[in-house]
Parts: sequence; structure tokens; C-alpha cells
Amino acid sequence: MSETPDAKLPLAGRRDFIAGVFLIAIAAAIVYAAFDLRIGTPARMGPGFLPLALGILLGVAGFAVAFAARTSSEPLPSFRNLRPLAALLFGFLAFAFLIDFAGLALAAFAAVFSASFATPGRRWLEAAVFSAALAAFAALLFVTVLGMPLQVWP
Amino acid sequence: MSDLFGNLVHGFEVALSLQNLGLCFVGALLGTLVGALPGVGPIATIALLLPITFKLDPTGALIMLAGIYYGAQYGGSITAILMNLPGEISSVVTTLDGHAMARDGRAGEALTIAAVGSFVAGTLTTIMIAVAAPPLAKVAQAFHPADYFSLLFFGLVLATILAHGPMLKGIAMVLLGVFFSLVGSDVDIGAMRYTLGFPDLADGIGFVPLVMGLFGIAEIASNLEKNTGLSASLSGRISKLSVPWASWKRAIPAIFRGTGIGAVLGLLPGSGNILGAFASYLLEKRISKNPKEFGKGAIEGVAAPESANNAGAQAAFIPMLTLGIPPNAVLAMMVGALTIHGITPGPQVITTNPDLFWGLVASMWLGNLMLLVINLPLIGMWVKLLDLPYKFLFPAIVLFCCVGAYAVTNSAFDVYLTAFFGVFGYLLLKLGFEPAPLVLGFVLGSPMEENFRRALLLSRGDAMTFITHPISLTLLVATIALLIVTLMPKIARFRDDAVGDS
Repeated sequence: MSETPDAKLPLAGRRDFIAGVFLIAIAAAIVYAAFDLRIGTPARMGPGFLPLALGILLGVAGFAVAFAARTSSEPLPSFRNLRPLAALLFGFLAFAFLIDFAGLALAAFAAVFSASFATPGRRWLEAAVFSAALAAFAALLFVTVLGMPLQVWP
Repeated sequence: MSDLFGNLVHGFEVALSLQNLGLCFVGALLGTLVGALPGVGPIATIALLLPITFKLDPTGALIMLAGIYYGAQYGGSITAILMNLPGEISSVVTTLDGHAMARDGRAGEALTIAAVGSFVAGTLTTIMIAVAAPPLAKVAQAFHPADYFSLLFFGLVLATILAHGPMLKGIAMVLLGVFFSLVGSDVDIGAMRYTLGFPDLADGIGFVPLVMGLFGIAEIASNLEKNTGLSASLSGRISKLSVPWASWKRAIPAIFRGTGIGAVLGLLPGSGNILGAFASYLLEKRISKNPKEFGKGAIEGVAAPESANNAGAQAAFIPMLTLGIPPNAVLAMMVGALTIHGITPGPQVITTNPDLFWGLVASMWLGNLMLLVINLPLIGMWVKLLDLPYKFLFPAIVLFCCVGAYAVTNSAFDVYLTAFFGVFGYLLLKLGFEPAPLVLGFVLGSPMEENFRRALLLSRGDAMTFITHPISLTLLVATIALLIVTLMPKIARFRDDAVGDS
């Protein structure tokens, strides 16, 4: 789990410091948006009361996490290999975009085809055949067997 | 006592209907199938298989989910023993001796003991649920909203303290989860909160997009990135499943000890089943005549933690079914699933929906039995499955997630939302956060807010209501005491040794 401790690593490069900053940023956004809602008083709470309280607590937690980074020197993991995430995400976005007008068959094909490229060294033809097979299976399973009200073709 | 008997008979009548039996069977089978995949733990398995239960009636859906749950647990043990890849933290203990046995060519023996141990533990804890749940629910039904809020709060704090990983980050995740549960229209006056102008968010963030994003996309992406589990080698072919008598003699007492420890610790929120697995392993090592065998293939080292794990997993149903409080993320998934089917888990379920409650109790036992009589002979097939390349499996998982997220409300928006939580979860993993407490906070957030505001409404805005109700006061005092004790340095260190990561 822990990599070689490196006391010289600057605070800004440590994972937990960035994690704390990340929380503080979210907390700030929550608090900022809470003021658009009626806050109210503890006795008569408005819709904004709990979000505001949560945002403040989250901000405190964020500071504490960032502060604790003094003693943990774990570096931020690298974000260089984004290929798997990007391929999966693109699959989801393609499915969401296609499903309402193009139908399950095409949306499923697009999702599987895109996701196939998450691992290196995938061939186009292989991915296409595999995606078509899975799309057919999905249509059979979800629509024919499970009876979901999904449109299969455009 | 005759009441209990009558209730159990009723439960078996529900569970033994051809449809429900079939659902339990399919659930256990699919659960094992997905749960055996390297890197896919029980939470992710349930998230992935949730959509196939949408079309069922609530009782059938819950029975199937219970099957999936046990299947996923056992599938995780298969991967832990054969491939040394624990799918969840509690099976880390199983890998120690289980995998050592597999390397010795005793994989079949380890898997048989794991299955028998789980079955015994399951049987005993099923009885425990049937005996303990109804009186507990009766107590909880008399709760005032103030009591209920304090109880939820206590549960959430306890879960955070006992959860795996650094505590501060766990607290932050719970807070974020509670925040996500607030998105949507406000319970009192319907004001839009944090919907960012999306009308689809008016009903709040869906449970399925949240868990599928956090556990489906994020976990698969980081698994693929690390490349673990893609080419892990199988060690040991399964030659025979039979267990020599000498091994039985050592394993049986360990199974009973493990069950006892697991059932008690499993009631605790947070990592009850993790603590149970670790504690029972340590106990076996402590009382063993030859502790040096542990880590090198001691049969007790498989029997005890596997039984404890299953007993804990099942005991955890007690707080969920009687109080509506899921003690861990896996059961939070169950609560989410029930909510989708229009049932709010809580003390009222036993009386308003006895079919569901007793049917579930009976099918818990049936699910355990199925694992024993069906999965054991099929182990050869599961092993073949592990040989299947991961690159063919995960696109199928992606497709399941897409269809599942879409099917809840038939809206493409939920698929986009899943993608969003995928990226968010990926960032969380990179920054060293555990997503499990977030799910817990998300599920408990709305009932907490509801009861909090209801309590204040009943007392006309007087916050003293939380102190004047004795149950609520006791729980709040206990929560504060717990927080103080945990923050004391000595205990914090002990906690880190027990459940924290290094």
C-alpha cells in the first residue's frame, strides 16, 4: 500500500494534501450554493440549513485531511494511464446518447465497442464481432426474457 | 416459541414457491459467477445484478438479492483461495491459509470446508434472526422521531469509527454521501436543492447511478489500469473435493467458534464482518496446539474466518430489518434495492409485510443450502470461468451497468449521471478515499433529515426534544462518549491496528 516514504516531497505533491484541498473545494461550492436557498433558524429550518451545516463540516474535514498530510508522504498516484477510464466513459456516454432514439441494439453495440478499447492491443474486427454478439445477447435477455420496455431498433 | 415455528413455516411456504425457489437459485448462481470475477467484490456484484430484479415483485426481488448476496460472498472465497485475490477485505484472512492449501494441492478441501462452514454459520444465524428480530422490531416501533434520528446518527458514527481505512477520510465520505442524499426537492416545501437546473434531479440522485458509477466504472477503470487480476495465475487444480476425517475433526470446532464470533461482531455497524473474520482467525491461532501451521495451510484458518464472515454477513440483516439501519455498504445496497421496489425498511416491515420478512429469512437458509448442494459440484466450472480473459468480461459488465442505470426510470439522464459518478469515484480512489462510507451516508441521509425535521416539528422547534426523550438521550450520550473515546490517542492506535490500513 505505502510507497517508499519521501519526507522531501513537497506538501502540494502529497496525495492527502490534494485530497483535503479537493474536499475543501467541494465544501466551498456547497456552502456558496446554500445561500441561494432559505437557511432559516435551527428552530425553523429552511431547505438550505442542513446543506450549509454539511458544507461547513465537510470543509473542516477537508482542512483536517490536508493538515494530516504533514505526516503521510504518499505521493499522488499518476494520472497518465487514462485510457481505461476514457474508454469506459465514452461507452456510457454513447449508450446514453443513443438509447432514446437509436434503440438498444445500436446503443449496446456502441457501449461494448468503446469499452473494448480499454485494454491495449484490441483489434477492430474482433471488437466489432464481440460487440455485435453481446448486443444481440442483451436484446434477447433484457427485452425478450426479462420483458423490459426497451426499444430494440431505431 | 410456537409463534416462531409458525412464522418460519409461513416463511418456507413463501420461499418454497416454485418462482421464489427459482429466483433464489438463479441469484445464487449469478452472484457466484460475478462474485468470482477477480476485483469484483460483493458490493459491485450486487450493484451490477440489481437491474435484473427490477421486474420482480418486492418479495421475489429481495429473495433473489439474498441469493446474489450469498453467491457473491462464496464467489469471493473461490477467488481468494484459488488466485490469492481477495475481492473484499474480509476475505483477506481466507487467502492466508486458503491459498496456502491450494498451493499444496488441497484447493478442493479448502473450498469444501469454506462452503460447509458458511452453511453451518448461515443456518445458525438464520435461527438467530428469526428469534431476535420480531421483539427488536416491536421495541423500535415505539420510537419517537427524535429517538429514531439519534439511533440513525449513532449507527452512522459507529459505522464510521469501525470502518476500514483512515477515519477522517471516512467521515468526509459519510458527509458527502449525506449531502448527495439531500439533492432534489426539499421534503417540506419542495424547494429545489442543488439540482443545477436539471429537472431530472428533482426526485434526487438515483441510488443505482450512484453505486454503479462509484463501484462499476471507477473500480473497473482502476483495476484495468493496475492490470491486476487480468493475468493472475491459478494455482492448484481441483482434484477432489473430499475432506479427510482428520481435517474435519479440526475444522468442525473452528466452524462453531467462528460462527459465534462472527454473529456477535456482525451486529456492529461498519466493518463487523471484517472484525469477525480477523478476530476468529486470531483466536484459532491463539488456541491452536501448533500455531506455526497458520499461514501455511491450517484448515482452521479457512474454516473459522469463512464461518465468521458468513455469520457476520447474515447477522447484519438484523439491524437492517428491524431498525432500518444498514450496518454496512452491502446492506445499504439492499436498502436501496428495497426502496426502488417501494418498501422502506424498518420495524414496520415485519408486521405490514410478513411475507417479505419471513420469506427472506427462509430463503436465507435456502440460499446457503443452494451454495452447498449446487455450487460445490460446480466448482470446476467456476474455475474454468476464472480462465476466461477479463477483457471479454468487463465490456459485458459495462453493458449491464448501462442497461441497469437506464432501466430504473427509463431515462438516459441516469446513464449520464452514472458516468459522472464514475469519474467522481475514480478521483476518490486516486485520492485514497473509500467509497463505501459514502453509500452508507447516502442511504441514511434522507431518513435522518426526515426524522430530524419531524422531531423538531412535533416539538414546535424545540431542540430539547432530543434530550427529553430518554432513548434519544441515551443514544446521543453514547455517541458522544464513543467519539471522545475514539479520538483518544491510545484507542486510535488500537483501532488502526485492527481495521485501519497501513
